[in-house]
Amino acid sequence: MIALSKQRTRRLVAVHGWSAVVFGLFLYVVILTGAIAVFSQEIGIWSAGGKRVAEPMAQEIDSVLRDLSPQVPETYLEDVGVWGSAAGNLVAWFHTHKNNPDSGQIEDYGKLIEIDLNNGSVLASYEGWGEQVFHANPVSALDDFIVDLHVNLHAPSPWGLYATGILGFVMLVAAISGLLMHRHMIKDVFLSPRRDNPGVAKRDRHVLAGTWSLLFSFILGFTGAFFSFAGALGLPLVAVTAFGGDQVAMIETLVGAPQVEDATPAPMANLDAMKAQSSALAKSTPTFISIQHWGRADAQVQIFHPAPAGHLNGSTHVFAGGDGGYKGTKPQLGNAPSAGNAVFSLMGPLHFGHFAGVFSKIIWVCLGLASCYVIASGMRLWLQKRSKRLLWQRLGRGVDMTVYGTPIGLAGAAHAFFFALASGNSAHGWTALGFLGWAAVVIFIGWVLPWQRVNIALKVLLALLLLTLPITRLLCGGPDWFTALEVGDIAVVGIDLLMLAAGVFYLVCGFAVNKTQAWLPRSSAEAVQ
Amino acid sequence: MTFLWSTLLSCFVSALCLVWLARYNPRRRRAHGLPKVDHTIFASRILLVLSIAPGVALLLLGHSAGFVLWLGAISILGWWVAAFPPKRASR
Repeated sequence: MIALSKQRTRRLVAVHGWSAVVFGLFLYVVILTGAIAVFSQEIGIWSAGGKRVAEPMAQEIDSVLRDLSPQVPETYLEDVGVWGSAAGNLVAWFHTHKNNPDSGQIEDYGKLIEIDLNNGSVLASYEGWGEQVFHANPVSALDDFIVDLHVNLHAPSPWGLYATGILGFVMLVAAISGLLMHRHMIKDVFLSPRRDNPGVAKRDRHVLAGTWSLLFSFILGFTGAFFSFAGALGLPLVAVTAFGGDQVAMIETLVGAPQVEDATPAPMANLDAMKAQSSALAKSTPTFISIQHWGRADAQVQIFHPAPAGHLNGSTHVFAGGDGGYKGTKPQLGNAPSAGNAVFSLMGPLHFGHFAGVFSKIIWVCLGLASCYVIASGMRLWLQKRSKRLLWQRLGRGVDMTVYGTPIGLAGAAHAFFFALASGNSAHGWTALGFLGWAAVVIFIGWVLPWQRVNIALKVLLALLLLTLPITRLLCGGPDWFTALEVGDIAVVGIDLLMLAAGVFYLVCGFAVNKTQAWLPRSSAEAVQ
Repeated sequence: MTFLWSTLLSCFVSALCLVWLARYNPRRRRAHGLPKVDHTIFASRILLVLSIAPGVALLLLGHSAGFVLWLGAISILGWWVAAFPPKRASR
């Protein structure tokens, strides 16, 4: 029990409540999209209609890259990234680093090639700046849209990252103020909502969800803020404060000193042999390969592996590109194992929850949804006390519109994505338009209908959009369940079932006696009747 | 596979302890008008230790991923266990 004076408690309540009023709806959008983005890989497979090859990075890729390397300009061999796409293709990103006149920054420029590993044929190739070519493939439009909404709210860089970073800190402030102002947290940890008083029951539900998700609110808020600020603000600040503005010295310390250059042409050793050796050491299939200076004597290959079973962190194995000699492991931060690297390495698994496959992802989605519930229930509690004033009533409508409007927009975006992909239109453009269009529909419903009906109408609309998503996917040329299961595409069936289950849930919620309306102002409720 | 099963087992054991702790939690019983039960503080503490023990065991066994998973799962399971109100006592 934390003893605080009444005055301090009142101040904390104000901080807790007002931070939610100002930032709560944005925080809700970021957390909800984050919870969905935990399954971005599976959503990518689902939206692509399954995988051509189950594990592209487990296949032999050496001959494919050897055939492709003479087909690209020599400068693009400076750096080659290789990974497997959600659609089960191999992606090779041959690129160099040069100044982008539009941004004034050194950026990647090159050719991205997507290969079907079943026959080695080139499916697509795009040439340009990294940001352009990574978003050029229409198949990844849906998962790109969801991830970008979570990471930067689709705001231009670095402002979007700053915004989500601040929201991460708001989450921390809400968690700390909530912890301090709830004086009987331990005693009330099993206190289920009291049925006798609906107002108290709502408070109990909010406190209970907030208490149990408190630890992960800290963790997710902190790691989220870290990821937003580390690149956009943290590294430049470190360069100024610790390295006197010398960015090269900072990069050498954090990433490692560049090798001594040797541009003598030299054949590359067998990549598949290096991959096999690193896979045996890491006990997992690689997710990414980076090759510096392809075809030169100073070529270096870094192979990135995810965490093996029972571990939180993956590993990176380094090979000499010329003779394939093993050079050891590379920490994520710095050149040698350190406490800083250990802490830094924990950030990813703790934020993304991808370290133990579907099992950890399900738990992370639940944790994200718990935080969404805490925000929505907390905002409704705050508004309940002020529901007689028109301004707060309008914000109340805004809460309902955001709580249901965000998933409605995302489901609408998915529908638009499938139609655009099938009709050959710009999938990226139509996915964004689908989201905005359905958001406009939600705003219209929220504006026109009486407040009490808004909640029900949005739940039913969400249910219908979710229930029809698998049908839209099928109509637009996606594989049916039998075909998907035959080739082992469990993600396709799994996401379809999830959509159907969520649709049924919201349909039942929409038509069931709506207890949540008890918090609405009496005048509105009477107006409906 | 051992890692997954040991983590699932740890979550199951901890969840059982949480169900038991919730069932005999005096604050919860009082709030829902249930009669007092003869459940000592000592028994509650034993159950509390038992609910945490599987997570500590995972950590000691070197299953860092298992421990983090267990922590996340317990946060969700504890919420669900506590969120369902007990059946009312017949009056």
